[in-house]
Amino acid sequence: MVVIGDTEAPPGGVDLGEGLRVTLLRNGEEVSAGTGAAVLGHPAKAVAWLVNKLAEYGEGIGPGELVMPGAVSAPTAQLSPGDEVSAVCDGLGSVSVRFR
Amino acid sequence: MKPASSEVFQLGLRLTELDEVALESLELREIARPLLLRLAYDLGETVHMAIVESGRAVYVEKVDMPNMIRIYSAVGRTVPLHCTGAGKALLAFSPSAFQEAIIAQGLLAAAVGSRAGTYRSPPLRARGVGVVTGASPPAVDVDELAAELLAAEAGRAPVEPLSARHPGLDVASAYRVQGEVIRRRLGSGDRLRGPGVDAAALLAATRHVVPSLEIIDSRIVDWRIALVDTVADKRLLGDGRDR
Repeated sequence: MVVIGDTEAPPGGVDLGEGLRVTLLRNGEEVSAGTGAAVLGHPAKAVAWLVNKLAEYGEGIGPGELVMPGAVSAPTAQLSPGDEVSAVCDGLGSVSVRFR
Repeated sequence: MKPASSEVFQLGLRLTELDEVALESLELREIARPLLLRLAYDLGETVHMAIVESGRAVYVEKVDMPNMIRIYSAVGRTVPLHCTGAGKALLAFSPSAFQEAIIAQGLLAAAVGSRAGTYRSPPLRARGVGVVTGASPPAVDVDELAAELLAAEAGRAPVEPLSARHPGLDVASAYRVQGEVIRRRLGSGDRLRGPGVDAAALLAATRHVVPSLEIIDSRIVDWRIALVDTVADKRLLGDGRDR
């Protein structure tokens, strides 16, 4: 399951690699952090790898498809009911989810 | 089935329409059963009895030998004539006009040794043995099945179960059919395809980027997961059903 933020940024306008700092918060406290470089050096490199790998199966990626390039941090602590988890991506916006 | 004389039998039933109960009452099976059993024990192999129905072989009886290679077959199931042991034997002893008609239908790529020349009657009939290499069920025609499903979708007309008509349709081939269906539905127009796609090309094809949280859910303790753990555990999918 994926929670998608509502801030859509053009890919050219922001550094998605070393310059993209992502902080993961649980109930407002930082639990981990990382940069886009954690995803095979750069998320675009990871997805480019995927596209080239898919070519071996005669596949590709198409319009409207959402691709998860990989996470910038390892999983956080286990979740409990009532927890709110947010990711703040510098220059890109944030996303959060609350569990019942 | 009607006895035409004391030793010659004529088939008079549409066997594909028979259910198990009807098959149980089929005299042919009762007569053949002891012979099939003896064959099976003599050979140490699975033995099938089949008849030709609508251009295909229909298994009407089967004797499985324990500890042998299991053969994917079931009484009542129909299989192509050209690429099954029983089917080849039936073809070999069929009139040549019938053989040519089957060949003319086009031969689905299937078991090794299914080329037309290998089962036209003279060599096979002389040898008296039809050989199918391996115990694989006949391969399925992925393109044909995908086209059929797409036609069913377009015409809103459901089709008979593929599994009942294509014994070779295993899970792997079913995924290939699914892939082909999706491929045809999406078309291959402006998809981004490798090889040779680099990060710059990827970004040029990207509409937007968006922050996201992936909710994962693992059955494996302490996040000590290897690739196979992940795959087996349905890719850590957190679907909200596990509480």
